[in-house]
Formats: sequence, C-alpha cells, structure tokens
Amino acid sequence: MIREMAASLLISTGTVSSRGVSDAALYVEAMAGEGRRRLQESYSFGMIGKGVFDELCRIFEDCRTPNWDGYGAEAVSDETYRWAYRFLEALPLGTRAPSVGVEADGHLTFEWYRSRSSLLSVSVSPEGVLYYAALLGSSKRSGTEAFFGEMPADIVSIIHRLFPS
Amino acid sequence: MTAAVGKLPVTEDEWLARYILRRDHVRPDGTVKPDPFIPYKRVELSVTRHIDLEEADIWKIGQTVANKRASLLHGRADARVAVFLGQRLRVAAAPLIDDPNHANVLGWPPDKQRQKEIAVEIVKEVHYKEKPAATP
Repeated sequence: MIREMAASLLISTGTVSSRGVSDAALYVEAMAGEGRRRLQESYSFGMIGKGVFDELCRIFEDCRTPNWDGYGAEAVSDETYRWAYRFLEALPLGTRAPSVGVEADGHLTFEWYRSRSSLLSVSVSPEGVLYYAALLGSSKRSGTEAFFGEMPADIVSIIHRLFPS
Repeated sequence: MTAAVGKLPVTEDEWLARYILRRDHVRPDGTVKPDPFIPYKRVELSVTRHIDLEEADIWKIGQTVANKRASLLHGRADARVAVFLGQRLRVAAAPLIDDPNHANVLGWPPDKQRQKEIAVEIVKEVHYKEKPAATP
C-alpha cells in the first residue's frame, strides 16, 4: 500500500521532496526510490526504457574532447554529464522523452519538439545551471534556473503545454 | 572561389551555410535544432558565404571542415544574412586560407539564455540540406 502510494506520488509530482526523519518516513523514501528506479526502466514511464540515457552517454563520449564540431567547440565535461543525467532522472515519470544534443560551448541539451514554432530547448551547464527557451506558437518563454535535483516547475509546465497528456 | 570574395561586403540577401557534423543536430523531420547555432564562448559563429561558389564548392569546403575534425559531414544549414540581422546580429567576412568565403556571425549577447532565445528564432528560418552521396 505504501509502495503504491509512493509510486503514485512520483508519477504525479516527479519527486518526493519531503525529508522526514521518522522510521516510517525513511521507509517511504526508500520505497519511493526503489519504485522510481523500476518505473524509470519501463518503456511507458521511464527515460531508461526509452533509451534517452543511452543517447546522453553516447553524445557525452563523443564530445569529451575539444573541437568535436570542427569549429573549435568546447569539450563536454564530466560535471555537465552528471548534471544532465540528474536532470533526466528528475523529470516526472511518464514525461515524453526529449532528444539529446550538444552545443559548441560544451553544454548538453534536451529538446521537446512539435514544430519549428512549438518547442522547448534546455541547456545544461557544467555548473548545473539550466538555460531554456521555448516557442509556444505566438508566445515565448525562457529562463535560467540553478538545478538542485528538482525539476523547475516552469520547465514541467512548458512540456505539459507542448504535450498535454 | 577566389580570395577576392573576402573583400566583398556582406549583403543581407546573401546565403550562408553552417555545416552540420552531428546527426543529433538534425531532427527526424529534417529541420535543424538550435544547438549548432549557439556560438562559442568567444561569442561568434562560423559560417561560409555561398557567394561566388558553385554547389559542389560549398560541399567541398564543408568536407574540409569535417576532415579537420576527422568527422562525418552530414549536411548544411543554410540561412540568409537577413535572418541574422533580424536578430540584431551582424555578419562579417573573415576569410581563411582554406575557406576564403568564411564569415563570422557577431554581436551575440554573452548571456546564454539570450543566445538560446535567438537560436530558436534563427532555426525557424533555416533550410537544411543533406550532404549528397557524391560529395567529393
């Protein structure tokens, strides 16, 4: 019962953010972590099942040395990869999978794309800062957020606007 | 392709090419992501002017760029100079020994968020061309 509740909470919010100290709270947190790992492996809910982590790893390995683009690009650092990995882990379960990319300044990127005028692009920096820009038809959204392991609400709301469930 | 091209002023109706060396910079529908249009930290973006070049020459320069990286040339993203000017950027000829048509897109804000805002607008106007099979 507790495990089902924890999984349900994860699907709806993406993370369990409370940090209780009682035995029951620690048990719920542990079960939530286990449940989340299992759901991440499923094709329907998780990014592992959708192959996004594999794509991230492949691009990281490919761009670990400078000038990977022939124009003098910066290498993707281990720190950038770690932050990008955590970003994927923090996406609410069931979120549509983004495509992974890389930029000349060494940032890794995630893109949710419907059309040229309806998309969200998020860059992850070595410092764990998220830079994002979205086109939503006639409106635009953009921002900069320090990432501490929890998904910024604005990014989640843009993804839901692009791909309503 | 002559060195004199580098002395010609860049005009707003000229076409520019940004070579694409990564498959993941192109979406499944054949459009280009904003990623290859993010400038480096020195805040400039390398492009090649089409002016005075045959189609085969444009691809040949792209192949040279790819060879330097020992990478595959997947295609090129073409855009008119006007697209960059429309984002309050400017384009300056910057001829290289092996690419007299080389130019830089300048005037990018140093702020990454602004760079992304500009890049998503630019790629709305970009035309992607896949490298032809017979590229030298």
